[in-house]
Amino acid sequence: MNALVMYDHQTDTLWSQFLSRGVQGPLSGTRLEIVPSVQTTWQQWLQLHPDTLVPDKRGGYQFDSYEGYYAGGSAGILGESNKDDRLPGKELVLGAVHNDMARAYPFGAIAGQRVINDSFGGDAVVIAFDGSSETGAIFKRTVDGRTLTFRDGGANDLGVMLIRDQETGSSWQAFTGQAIDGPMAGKVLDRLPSHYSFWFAWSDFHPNTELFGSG
Amino acid sequence: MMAGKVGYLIAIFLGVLVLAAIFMPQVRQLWLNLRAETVQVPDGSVVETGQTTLDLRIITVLGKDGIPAILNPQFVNVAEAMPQMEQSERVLGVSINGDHRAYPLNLLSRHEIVNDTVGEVPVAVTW
Repeated sequence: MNALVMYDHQTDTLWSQFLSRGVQGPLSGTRLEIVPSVQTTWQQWLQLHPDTLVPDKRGGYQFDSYEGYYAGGSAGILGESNKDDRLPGKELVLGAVHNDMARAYPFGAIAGQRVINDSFGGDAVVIAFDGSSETGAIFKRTVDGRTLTFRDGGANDLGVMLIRDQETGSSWQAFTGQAIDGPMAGKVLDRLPSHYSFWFAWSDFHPNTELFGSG
Repeated sequence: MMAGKVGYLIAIFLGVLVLAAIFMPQVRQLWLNLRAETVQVPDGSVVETGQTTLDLRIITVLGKDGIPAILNPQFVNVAEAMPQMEQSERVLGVSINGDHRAYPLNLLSRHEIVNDTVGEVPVAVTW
């Protein structure tokens, strides 16, 4: 099982990034609230948020020092306690924990579908995934008490992926959850915190995880 | 006689070097494991049988601040960022209260953690 453990300057507690929880020290057991984030390309993010701020790289950081780790079959994997052979260890998944349920959506299974209407942890949810930029997000699809069914809405002229709900015909930005056209314009879907993970780490930290597409 | 002894010593020395080179990763792993601590944490996801616990082994590969976290990030706007960014470059994007920030993964890979305040909410961006 391996992923970053970090400490805080104030109490010296050790925190597991993956479990978002203090694991040793005074704040052991305390949970950190997960803020939803989206992993995407600079190009996609810029289209969604033209007023974004970016840390100043001051000319550095041209290369990602983990390139070899991403690509290598088992490079960097040590101490797996729960080797789960349902997927190769370095297969990427979009993972989420919701109402004490863990579920993984493998990129390979969702890239072809783009939009998946699903239910998870007692809520109707929609998963949107753009394979070309490997951008994915999970939203609750119940708005003002009404559950919507989504399908692929293509992309706008800036290349921003859209989803469209069957019930009202409204168009929504797939990665902000904001309705931009139709009767629902202005509404925003609730996003569930999710993050990308290699399967080896996801299955290791969440041994009870469900795996989308595996029946 | 002396030359023979020196020869043996050199051979033994070289042999030890070769063995050390071969077994260094295992020795390092063993050393890390000996220093590792195991803590039990609840697993966070449940099945019908209820919550389980995980044995989390804390292995110190790099000590505290071995990878320096960013404590006071400095930001630029899009116009200033453009020359530093590739179109296909991957970012982790966060939006809180209308405040949007994109953390490039190549920067996160070097620092692992950015302590920041987004939309007046203190956050740690971890990678």
